[in-house]
Amino acid sequence: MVFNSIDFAIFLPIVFFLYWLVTNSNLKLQNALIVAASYLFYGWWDWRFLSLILFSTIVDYSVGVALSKEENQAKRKTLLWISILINLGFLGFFKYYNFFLDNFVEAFSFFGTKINASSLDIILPVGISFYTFQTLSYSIDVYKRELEPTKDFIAFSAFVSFFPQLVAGPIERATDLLPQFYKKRTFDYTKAVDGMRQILWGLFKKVVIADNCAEYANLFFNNSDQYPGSTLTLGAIFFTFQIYGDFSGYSDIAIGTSRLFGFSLKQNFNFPYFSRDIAEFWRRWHISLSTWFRDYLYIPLGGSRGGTWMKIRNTFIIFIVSGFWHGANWTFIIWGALNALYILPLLLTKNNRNNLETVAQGKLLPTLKETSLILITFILTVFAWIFFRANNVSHAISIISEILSPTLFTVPFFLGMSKALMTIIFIVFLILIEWVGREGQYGISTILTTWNRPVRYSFYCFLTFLILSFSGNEQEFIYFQF
Amino acid sequence: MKNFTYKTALVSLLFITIMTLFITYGKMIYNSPEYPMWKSTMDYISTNTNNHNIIIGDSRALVSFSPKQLDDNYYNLAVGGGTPIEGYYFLKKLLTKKTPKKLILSFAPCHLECAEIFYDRTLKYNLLSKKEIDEVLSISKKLNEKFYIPDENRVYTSTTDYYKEYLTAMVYSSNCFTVYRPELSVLLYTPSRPFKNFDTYKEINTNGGSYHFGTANSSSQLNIESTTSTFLPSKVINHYLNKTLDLTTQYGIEVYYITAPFNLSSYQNTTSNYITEYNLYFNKLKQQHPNITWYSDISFLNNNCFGDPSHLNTKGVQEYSKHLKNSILK
Repeated sequence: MVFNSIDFAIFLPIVFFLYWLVTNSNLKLQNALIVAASYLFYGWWDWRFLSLILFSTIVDYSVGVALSKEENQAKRKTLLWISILINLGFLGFFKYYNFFLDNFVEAFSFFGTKINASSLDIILPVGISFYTFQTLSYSIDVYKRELEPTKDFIAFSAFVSFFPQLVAGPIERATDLLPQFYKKRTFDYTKAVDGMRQILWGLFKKVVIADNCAEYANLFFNNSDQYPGSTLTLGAIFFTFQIYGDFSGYSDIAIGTSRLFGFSLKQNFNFPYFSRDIAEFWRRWHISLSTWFRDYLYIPLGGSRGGTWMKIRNTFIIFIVSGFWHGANWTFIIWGALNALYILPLLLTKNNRNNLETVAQGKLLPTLKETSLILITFILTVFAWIFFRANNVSHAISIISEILSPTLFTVPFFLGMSKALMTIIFIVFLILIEWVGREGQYGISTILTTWNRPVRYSFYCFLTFLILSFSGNEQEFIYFQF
Repeated sequence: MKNFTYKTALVSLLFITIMTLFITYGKMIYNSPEYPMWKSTMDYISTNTNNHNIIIGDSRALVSFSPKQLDDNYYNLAVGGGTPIEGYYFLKKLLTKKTPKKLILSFAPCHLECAEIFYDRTLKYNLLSKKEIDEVLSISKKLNEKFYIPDENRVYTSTTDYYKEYLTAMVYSSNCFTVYRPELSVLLYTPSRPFKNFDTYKEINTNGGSYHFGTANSSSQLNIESTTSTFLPSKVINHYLNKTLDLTTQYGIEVYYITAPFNLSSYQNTTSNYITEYNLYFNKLKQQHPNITWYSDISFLNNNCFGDPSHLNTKGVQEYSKHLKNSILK
């Protein structure tokens, strides 16, 4: 089930009312309802893969229980490795089997040896990368004794399968989310209203911005040989906003939906396109994944301890792994490596933690210097997204070559320009609203509170109108494939 | 919880009310340019009491039969995509107010095969009442044919299938916001649409209901009939064509059934099988309705008389009107 569907529009109020009116008096029943609703939500897409989630839940729950009873360090380590190998084994098989196989075959054929191995027709289970990382964090935290293992299987199942964030995050830590399933939730009006507002903003970003940008990004990227550099640049910019609208929109809907049920999830996007350098961008983009890699990969690898070279090595490792996490394609790996390269000068000059606070905090407009830095960072990001979106490396290179040719200075022309212009107007609207609301949790979290009720309600109606009328061709959330 | 439910319901209700009002009363603002043509016909039927002779048909009829050039006593009620289903209900409604002396019926062969616009125009533009929709769908069920699907395989597979269609029809005719999503989307990036719609409406009314589609000086592109080899008349549409002809007999109206011409390229490309099947179909109709004057044979005009593959241009209308006046309606 996807958030921007009629199915979800029916599903959500039913679960909401059952949750608060029927199961409210019993915490176990409430958690059981979450599990049932989550399995229905996931099974709507493909019920066969529910068994994977269930298996992963049983494995990590059992590992947690076993770890709580085991004091022998070697045995504890074995238990942890069981969890890691099973979880990453599934992920590896479903996501990377064909990639490794194809690359092995190609590598051997390069040296003159032919291997007869054919790729398998594997369907990638939606959200596998997300819930695998979430359950892994549980096993690792329990192993590190940072979290008391749970004895409540229903609460743990609800934590693994919690439907708002099951298929595309935010990737929650067990230390943050699991305890919320132990406590009785009471309905909080302010939280619920805020949740609704965040859902509305998320839908706007997904349906109006991302889906409309997708039409042009797909058109230009899929027919890149027919367009000049200027149009391809426009295509890359459209993709830049598509991926932001799509993924941050999803996160907003997920966080907003969780708030309706009395849960608090991590902020996953913090206005990344207003970043002044790439390090700041990565502190603001897909925060739950970046911090996951920081805590479970970067720091165990030694982090910034051990000198500059160690820091650079570890940075490259996490960016390349992060790229690979996104998909089994060299384009993602190059995208990751490119971002690591962008950060390199900041690391070497120790300027990677310069911009920790929000840009132009407390001011209406940024300074000229800030504006230039934001623009430079944005251009670097757009350039990196070309690799992310391209079908393969040579496709990305051909697009970049065309962009860097004199055709960059031609006037873009394509069919459907009036609609594209309207999409650009909405992108500008998004930028303006998010700029004004950049010190809040999401675009419209703070600005609306100062408006009087009729204006506020009219704004809600306006956004709803745009969502329902100016939605582009329905596109699946990009991050579902990761 | 109560407060939250109340306020959410309030905002939703506010939104639904505003949208319903806009959808219901703003059709000329957001709809496609087809709408003013349909509206003009519907308005004429409900308000005009002049004793005009009437033309009923599809877009080819809308263009080909120009009252200005033919005879000022004619009024063109043809609509884009119209089939005998719409034609029947237009005539039936018209007859509650007045009885025209003469009637020209004209449908392209393709509009006897399928009513593709049934949902997107007939129902969305609110041509039919609930009772009339019931009537059309019950005939569709009885004859076991989804007449709006351009496919040979258009039978109902189950009763559920029929009720699903019925429900969709009700949604389409109910001014439901979601049905108009594509039009509203286009309106956002084509803000000139309402002005164009009002201009079109005015132009149609000044031209006695007629309108021009194709603007090119010539068209050698093929029309839809010439790209298929079999003529497959719809059972439901056939039912309504017979019903329309019966109605004209009942009211003593002098009827001319005229098929608008093809362009030369399409005519030459139309298969003999298609023409044979088409003629067989009309031979049967001629036998059933001997009192009708039939000019149903497929004819042609030169490509330079066409503004697009299916519709005459200004020159074509002049030439065809001359032919109609001299040979058919004299």
